[in-house]
Amino acid sequence: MMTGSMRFAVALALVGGGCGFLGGSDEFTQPMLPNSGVGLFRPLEENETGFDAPSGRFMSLGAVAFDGSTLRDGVFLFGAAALVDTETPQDPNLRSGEVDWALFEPRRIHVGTSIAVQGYGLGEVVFRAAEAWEGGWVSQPDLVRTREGQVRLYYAAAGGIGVAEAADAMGPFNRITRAPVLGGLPPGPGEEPTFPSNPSVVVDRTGRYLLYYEEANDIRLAISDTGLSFERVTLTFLEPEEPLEPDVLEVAREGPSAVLIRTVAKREVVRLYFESIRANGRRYLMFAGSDDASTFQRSELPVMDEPNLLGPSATLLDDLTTLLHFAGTATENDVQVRAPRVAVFPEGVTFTQ
Amino acid sequence: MKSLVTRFRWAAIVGCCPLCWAWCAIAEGQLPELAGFGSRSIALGGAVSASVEDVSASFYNPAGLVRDDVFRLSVGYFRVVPSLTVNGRSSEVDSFGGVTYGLVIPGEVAGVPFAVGVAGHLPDAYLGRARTVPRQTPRWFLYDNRPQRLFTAAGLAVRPLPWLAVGFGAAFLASNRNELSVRGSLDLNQAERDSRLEHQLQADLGTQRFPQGGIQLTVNPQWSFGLVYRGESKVESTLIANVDASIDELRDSRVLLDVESVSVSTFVPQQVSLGASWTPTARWGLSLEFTWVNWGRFVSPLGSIQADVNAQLPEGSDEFVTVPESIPLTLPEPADFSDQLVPRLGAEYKAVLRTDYDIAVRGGYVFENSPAPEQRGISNLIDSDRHTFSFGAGFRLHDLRPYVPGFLNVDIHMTFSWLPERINQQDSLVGPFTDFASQGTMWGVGVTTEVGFE
Repeated sequence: MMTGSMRFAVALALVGGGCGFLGGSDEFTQPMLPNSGVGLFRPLEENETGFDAPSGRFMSLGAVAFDGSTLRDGVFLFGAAALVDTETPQDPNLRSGEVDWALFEPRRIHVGTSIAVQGYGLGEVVFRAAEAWEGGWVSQPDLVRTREGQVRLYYAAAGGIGVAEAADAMGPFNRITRAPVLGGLPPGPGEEPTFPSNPSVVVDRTGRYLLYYEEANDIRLAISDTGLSFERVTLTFLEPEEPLEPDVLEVAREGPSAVLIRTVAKREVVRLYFESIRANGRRYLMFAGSDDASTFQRSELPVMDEPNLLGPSATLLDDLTTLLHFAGTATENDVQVRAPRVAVFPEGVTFTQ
Repeated sequence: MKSLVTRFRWAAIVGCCPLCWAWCAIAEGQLPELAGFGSRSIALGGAVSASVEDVSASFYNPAGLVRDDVFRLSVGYFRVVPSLTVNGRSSEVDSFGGVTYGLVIPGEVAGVPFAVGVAGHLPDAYLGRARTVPRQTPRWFLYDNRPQRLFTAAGLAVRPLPWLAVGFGAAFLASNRNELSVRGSLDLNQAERDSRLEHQLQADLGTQRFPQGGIQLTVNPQWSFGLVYRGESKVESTLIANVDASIDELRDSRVLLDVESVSVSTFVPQQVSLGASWTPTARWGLSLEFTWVNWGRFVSPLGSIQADVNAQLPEGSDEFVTVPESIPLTLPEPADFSDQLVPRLGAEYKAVLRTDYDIAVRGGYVFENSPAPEQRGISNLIDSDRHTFSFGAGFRLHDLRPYVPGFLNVDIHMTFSWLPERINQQDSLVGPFTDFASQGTMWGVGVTTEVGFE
């Protein structure tokens, strides 16, 4: 039987032991929230790309011009051409960041060999020009998976946008049609002909193919039920209340890259990344969103901190993370070649080797 | 052989020790509006304004303090574990628990019974907590910071007539004011490495008070009615930042930045409760209550921000450094919350009725429709309707003699709250967040021990 002293000792021990837990608290952690992909993107670090190079560099191409890319099912395709003419000066009328392709070999589409988690090397050619309308070059690839499970490669060439198909993203790719799926428009009197380029295709839940492309200094939209023959439709950009550099005219919008997400509110949203080119020569990577595929709200700020970036190619890694491949200006032998770079949003996401 | 009662007496006294242990255990504060107060009242769904008589009357209806002439001393422990998600991912809302305590002291003046009561929650980790997040960041504003606060209530009740009890009192919430000062030099190129900044933070913890009052009408031994009013309370949090820095790359530069952010970190709406209690038999007790909660006056926690900047820069630096002439005042957006009408149900059955002890089982249900409108992006104050099911049991030892001339109550409770999925579609497709679905559950447990001295 416990005496009074023993009871007191037991009670004291319980109290004393319990007081050891005094002062516990939880650390403040910010949960991952469903973001819109608007940025600000963070260039990947050297330990993420495997390259000892300035922030976001993930390939070492040397005297090779980088011309658009796409990442699908872990396969990285990109357009590129090697510099062959180092004697002729490049065209002085080119805008800042533009490549004088006349100094390069014909562009072809390559596959990147994986060197690091987000680093690639120059791999073999997987697609080259073969049709007359392509004008000897193919580039600016975009991969999309069809409802039937095939992988389609949309690409730009001299005469417009073409399509090829394969069982998987590694190819080999076989052309579906011998003509472009979207060719140039007949020019008006005294006008130069224009041709669409920089294709970016998404497939909506009804099976429609939405082709965003660049033509005549703007971004445009064409729609198809099969993905093999497209019809042009109107695309509208709604300016934000406080646009970037309101005193500097926007002279062109180029290089569209579209991703499609389905939200929990059961609507489809197209996220469009593109270049905004200003009258002062600066380029910014911008963002716009649409829930009807054709009317886009524009963000006020660029998705990257620095100007003069080109050719965005966005990939949704999951519903929270967006990877953005793009190009920065770079020169080789005083010739503009473009340097491929990569960034991620949100900035807290990291890639370990 | 010791009698069953004797064994229970000792077990009861020893049982208080774990509660003392719980006093020191890991716990954070809670607000009664979220989790209730006192295991018996919680188990009855909080539908107790008409019949409450224990220390929880300080919260539910101060008039109940004088319902009987018993000196009461109580201590309890609660814990609530939320599991709240956004788009299927945990929102990492902290669990909250706390030690509750209470005291009721009866008396009589000129033949009129009166009683004084004190009750409160003592958080372990935080006496108060304020967190600042970007305006558009989705947050479970009702469950994130609100439970992390010290709470105390005090009341006085009188019974001028045998069937009428009137009580009034005040409740106290912790509030905080923070002042941050930063000064030094800033290196634009290597900000993190070569800047030399020092800061000073001064935080003041204070209290906010709000009134409450109520009446209890005991019409007959079977029927009681209660009417309670609780006043509105706002806790403001002020953050003042004064930056006085120079820029290393700009000789003779100086930047003065004054920012004042004022926000309402906690808002407790005024409310009126009307309840009825029916005890048809000695074993059964049923209660029903409706509470009108005036969320329409809710002040958004998104505060106002006023910033003044004054920069002294060397000549010629304005080519590459732009200093705004003024920074527009940011004002909070209206919250557009709507009032609630909250129904509560409670039932108690005394399964064991003896002269020496009773055992009761209890159950309750509460439905709280969300006062928040669909969050479309200007603010993202996540909330959903809440269905709360409560269960509990109570053991009452009628006579603690020879240890104390009184009784002992040990009550336990468990709650389960279900927050159904709610979709919030964003107006802007270029804002920081996309459409999100919020939902969740919350589990709560607790125990309360009360000793009554007759």
